[in-house]
Amino acid sequence: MISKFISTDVLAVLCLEDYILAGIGCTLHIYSRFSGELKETINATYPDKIHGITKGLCNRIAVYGAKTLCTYDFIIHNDTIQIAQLFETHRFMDWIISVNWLQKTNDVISVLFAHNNLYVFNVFEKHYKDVKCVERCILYGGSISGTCIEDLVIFSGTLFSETLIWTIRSCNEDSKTRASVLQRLKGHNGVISSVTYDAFTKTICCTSDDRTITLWKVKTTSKEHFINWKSVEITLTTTMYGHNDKVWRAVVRENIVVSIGQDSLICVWSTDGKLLNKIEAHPGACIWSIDITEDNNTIITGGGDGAIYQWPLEHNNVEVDIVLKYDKTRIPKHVGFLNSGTILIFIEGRMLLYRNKADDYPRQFINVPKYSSYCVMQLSPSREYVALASKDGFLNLHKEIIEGDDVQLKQIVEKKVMDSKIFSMRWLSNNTLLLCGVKGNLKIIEISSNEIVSQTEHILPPSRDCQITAAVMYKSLMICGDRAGSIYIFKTVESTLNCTKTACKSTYAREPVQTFPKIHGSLGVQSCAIIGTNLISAGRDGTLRFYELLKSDGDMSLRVLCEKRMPMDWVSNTLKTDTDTFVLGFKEVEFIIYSMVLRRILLRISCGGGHRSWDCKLANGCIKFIYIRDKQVYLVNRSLHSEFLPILQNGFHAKEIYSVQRLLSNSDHNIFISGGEDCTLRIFSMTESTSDNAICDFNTLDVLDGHISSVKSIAILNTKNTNMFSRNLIFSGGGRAQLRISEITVRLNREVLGSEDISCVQLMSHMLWGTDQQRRKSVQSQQYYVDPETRYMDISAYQDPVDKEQVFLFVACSDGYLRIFIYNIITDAILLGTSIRYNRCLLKVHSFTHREKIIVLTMATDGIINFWYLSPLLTQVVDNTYKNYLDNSQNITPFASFKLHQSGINSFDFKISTENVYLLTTGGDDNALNLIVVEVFNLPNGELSAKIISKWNSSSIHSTQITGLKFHGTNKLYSSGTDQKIISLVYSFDKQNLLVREQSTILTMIPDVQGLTLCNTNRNGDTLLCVYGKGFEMITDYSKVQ
Amino acid sequence: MGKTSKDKRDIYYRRAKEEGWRARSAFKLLQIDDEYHILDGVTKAVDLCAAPGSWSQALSRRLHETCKNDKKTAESVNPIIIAVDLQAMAPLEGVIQIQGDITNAATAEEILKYFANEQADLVVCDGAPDVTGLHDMDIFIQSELLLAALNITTLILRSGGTFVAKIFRAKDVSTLYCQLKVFFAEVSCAKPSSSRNSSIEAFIICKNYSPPEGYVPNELASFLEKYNSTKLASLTGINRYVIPFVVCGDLDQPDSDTCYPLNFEGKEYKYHEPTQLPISPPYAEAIALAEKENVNLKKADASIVIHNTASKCESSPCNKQITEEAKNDLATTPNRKKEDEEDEGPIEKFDLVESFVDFHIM
Repeated sequence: MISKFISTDVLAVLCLEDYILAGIGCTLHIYSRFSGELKETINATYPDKIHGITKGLCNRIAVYGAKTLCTYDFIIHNDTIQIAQLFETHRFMDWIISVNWLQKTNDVISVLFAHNNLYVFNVFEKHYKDVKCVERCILYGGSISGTCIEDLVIFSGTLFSETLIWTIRSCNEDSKTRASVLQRLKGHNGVISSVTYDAFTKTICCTSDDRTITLWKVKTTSKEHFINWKSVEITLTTTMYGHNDKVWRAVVRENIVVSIGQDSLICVWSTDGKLLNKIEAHPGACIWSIDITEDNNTIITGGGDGAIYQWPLEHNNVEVDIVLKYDKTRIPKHVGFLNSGTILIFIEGRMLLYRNKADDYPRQFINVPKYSSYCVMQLSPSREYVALASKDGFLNLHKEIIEGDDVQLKQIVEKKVMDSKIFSMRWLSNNTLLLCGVKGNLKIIEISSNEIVSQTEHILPPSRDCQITAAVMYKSLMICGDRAGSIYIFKTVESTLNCTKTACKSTYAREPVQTFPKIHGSLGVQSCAIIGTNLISAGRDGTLRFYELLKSDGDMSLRVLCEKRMPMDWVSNTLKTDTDTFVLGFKEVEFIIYSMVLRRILLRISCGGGHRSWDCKLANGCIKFIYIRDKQVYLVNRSLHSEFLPILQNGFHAKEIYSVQRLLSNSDHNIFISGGEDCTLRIFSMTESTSDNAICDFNTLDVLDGHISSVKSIAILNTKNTNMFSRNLIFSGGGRAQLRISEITVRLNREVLGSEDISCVQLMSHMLWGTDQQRRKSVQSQQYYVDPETRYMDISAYQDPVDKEQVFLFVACSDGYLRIFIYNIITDAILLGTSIRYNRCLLKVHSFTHREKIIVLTMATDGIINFWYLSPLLTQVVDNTYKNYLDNSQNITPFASFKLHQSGINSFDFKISTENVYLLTTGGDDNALNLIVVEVFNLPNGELSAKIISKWNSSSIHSTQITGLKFHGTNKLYSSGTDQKIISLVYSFDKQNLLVREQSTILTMIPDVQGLTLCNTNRNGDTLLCVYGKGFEMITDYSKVQ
Repeated sequence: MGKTSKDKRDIYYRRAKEEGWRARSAFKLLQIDDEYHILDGVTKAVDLCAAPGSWSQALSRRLHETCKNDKKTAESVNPIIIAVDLQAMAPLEGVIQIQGDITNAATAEEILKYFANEQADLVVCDGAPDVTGLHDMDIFIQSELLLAALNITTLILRSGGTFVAKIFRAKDVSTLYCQLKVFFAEVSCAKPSSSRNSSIEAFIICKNYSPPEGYVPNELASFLEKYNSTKLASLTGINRYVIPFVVCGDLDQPDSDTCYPLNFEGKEYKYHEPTQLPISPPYAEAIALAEKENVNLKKADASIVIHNTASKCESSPCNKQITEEAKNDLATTPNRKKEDEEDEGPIEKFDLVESFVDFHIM
């Protein structure tokens, strides 16, 4: 078995000229900094993980982790890179904290260990010196500084919140004396996670569990080369608070300190303690590693989500926001960019035009006194027209006229179009406007040859705040969103120009034809946009929602597809570019631009929030953003180029993965769906290039939000498979007794599948005890029996072979019940049919048909596997006709029970051997692995029964919990455990005898292994295993299946 | 998080409060004793890394109870229980407390003094280190803690005595098993049913202390160094971990993975305050400072910096400078409360930290 791909915690990154080195698991990855391309991988520290990479002179590299050390010479020549291992991998008895090359010789390396001792190690002569510090305690962090043995100084970060400074000079080669502690730095309240010393600035920087970073100044009197560490004065200069969790590492460069924490944040500080920037770099995940490129331009981070990102390191906020100058006693109301880039500011009845930021005075004043006390302003989509609306129903239109260098606004028309105040308006196209008057009265008007022509009139259903905040036109549909978070669809006319009066009337309707009440919560819809045949709405609930525009019988309607949670509080807008879709929005005081393709924030601008008027324009790779703050108008120009530093490694789940299931696996594609602690479902594909030893790569196709707690289990039901597409129902369950059902369609018309080949519909979310809001209501009304802590541990989906509309969902619950839901595919309705009380936490469930009978297996924390015959009960439940919960199943008992384990059964697999005979394998919390052959038969009285024909077990194959088991082919079994072992076993069942033999073992670099999944094969017919836990690893088994 | 949230989630946590235990881990020791009878005949017991003291409490209750029962029938000795921890602990009846470092030989001498220079019958250790979140490192540090406990145990445990300690069942656990086997005739791994199924935590039960010939007490590190490079290296495959695994606690006892309704077994639920308040976390000062200065550090541009002008590095901080640009801003977006923020916490995962009550620093 060979590891082909790994995505897990990135514990070490290092910049080496134009390359970035990263340690993922035991594999050293080498990326090109500018192209982002993975150049090479080296299996370095197996079976330990890489925790650090250190650079010596002439690109000499030490890679270390846990107790293993490897060294390499990197020969970089233009575009090629050659790597030669210096000496064989070295294994120590102790945990390595830090490694340092002695640059004066470059073949001596010093290694600091967790027991506070130092090895000085000549890599060629294999000669070493071991010096122990007097203070014997476990180190969590530390570093070594110095270029030769004489000036080596050790900074040890202890679990007793102290940093110790010691040297080895006082210790003779052969003496057993211990090095004494020269200085103790006390200033933290928690474990010291890292200590670095910057010899250039003579600054010591410590990070700690207490969420702080401290800077210490080493006071040397002159430019003396040697520092007498015993007598030198070291003062704590600065303590910095900015992280919300443990601070893990920090790097000091000139006058900048960059710290990373377990709160996903990068904090950039000046050395005098000023916070310059805070970046949420790996959302939801810890950041484990950091380096800064040699040109001090770029920060590289590696996270617990497996991602490696590059970030621009801006020194003193290079971009200065420019304040537009105008009379400061007045309050600017609206701002915007015209098509030419000219800036328009509306201020108390005047429109001011600024050609560019250097203008001291506006180029043009336009007085519009009618709009001085109240004004709504909107720019047309092409930014050529400016519409102003007044409190007495007037509409004023100006057009941008460009003559050479000169830009002017010319009024083209003004007319009273409404009897009431115009509360809001939105452009539907470059010549159509939607106006919203009092009580939700809507009016569509068209501008035709400088005339305003009224079109249709509509009305919003009565609500608290009857005002549109977003609108878009799609053919003859007008879709708008309101302040209360609802979306309405109106039938209107496309245009009077190509529509006869009668035809118009037939399609037109005053009332909405379709309504999605409060779909964006109660905070309001911010925008609606059409991309392709989909509608995207953005709202103040921090989500983007996707809808499909369906056409049936000539009628158009909207179907909700899915929602995506954005890393912002308010989502304002989407901006389509050639290759990407940007999402604009606000989080607290920041304006945020998020890339849908890169799935990360591109740009953050601190602007004070999104309450006031702002505008954002994208032109020539530049983002122009204008906003109002403290009665001033600010303009920000940002090149997107620096924000587009290539991603070196894409991220995956931010936390543990609990389930990975195969969605589609054939010779061309391997598509999986995964869920975990971070409450998301992810659809991803693994690709293997055709050449033999090529590296696998993975591609996240979609991320589904919507679970409010962790996802523990995923069940897949294939509903349709053709050459062109594959359609599946996904049932996902987990914490807070939540069950979600989604439909995922994969279109197979291309060789390499991308995000656009996947479409996902979130069909429903079901919560056993209702949503929090519903529960709160029930408290007020009456009794409060609720157990919101129930977790759905496992799900098995069973489609009725006769009535294919009907799907039974068997859900193993942590409160000791097996719950049975009935889901109707056609009506998309779910009902809790009944539940069976077991009284121990159920961990696993499986359902299958045995001679047209439905049998369900359950496994619990008591180590017992139970066989339930459920056909009669299910008939009863269905006969109960979807009306009521059947409360009559307490007396049902399993027809067979086998105690296979001392405690919880964490993994199993099940398959038919021959008629009536089944193979079952289980793995437990008690290290035991069972393989049993079970016969299911009828007793003379006709009742079902089961017996074990043959049994094999082992408690020594794994030394810990067994968390994953999978049968493969006719005679293979794979197992995985928290001991990180992946074992392939070969079994044979012959004449009642079960023979099992261990075939091969590999250690995975995935900690906290939760299970494994198999994919059929690649093109060569090898087996591909996906092992998951904290990250995932793809392992190929080359031994052929029989 | 709701006040009753944890009560709903964990039956042992709820019971610990009801029965006055300082932490739910008390049940783990009781269940181990039910299975292994580690307390039989014990008159001198040591609890290492004892804070907040639930194991000492369990030892005290059981040993004194046995003693009382014995007194009715025959002669018996009053048990002596010593709890050792770096930090001070609220006093416990029938338990002698020593505030000391288990890696220090002087601590061993102090313990033996209380036993009138006799050695202990039983040494237990439920200590767990500060976790980093890196599984391999946390597992390493836990194993080092276990070896430190073993080292002091070799100084204070009588021959034939029992040693019980927390162990993480993960990669390389078999190496630890082998090392323990050198010192004890019977070694097995136990998982009480009060410990969660998903947790990698287990307990090593080492009976019949019989140190190898030539072993010098308190020299465990150098002994193991030699052992690892010679004996251990030659032990491969199956020989490395034939250690029985035993689940303690029968099916009548509640299941720590199951969520039980609050009104359970006919008893009306009543909320109990924790017996012992959690030890203050390392970040307590950061939280207190942010509160005092009214700075929400979660905000994108919020920070606090303390400039230290005093010349000595031990001196206390002064000159607080608050740099919160957000303060002047009139507009702030509403703080949307995430639905899962309120009463949701991921329930069970890689269960290194169970709760602060359960947990303490070595």
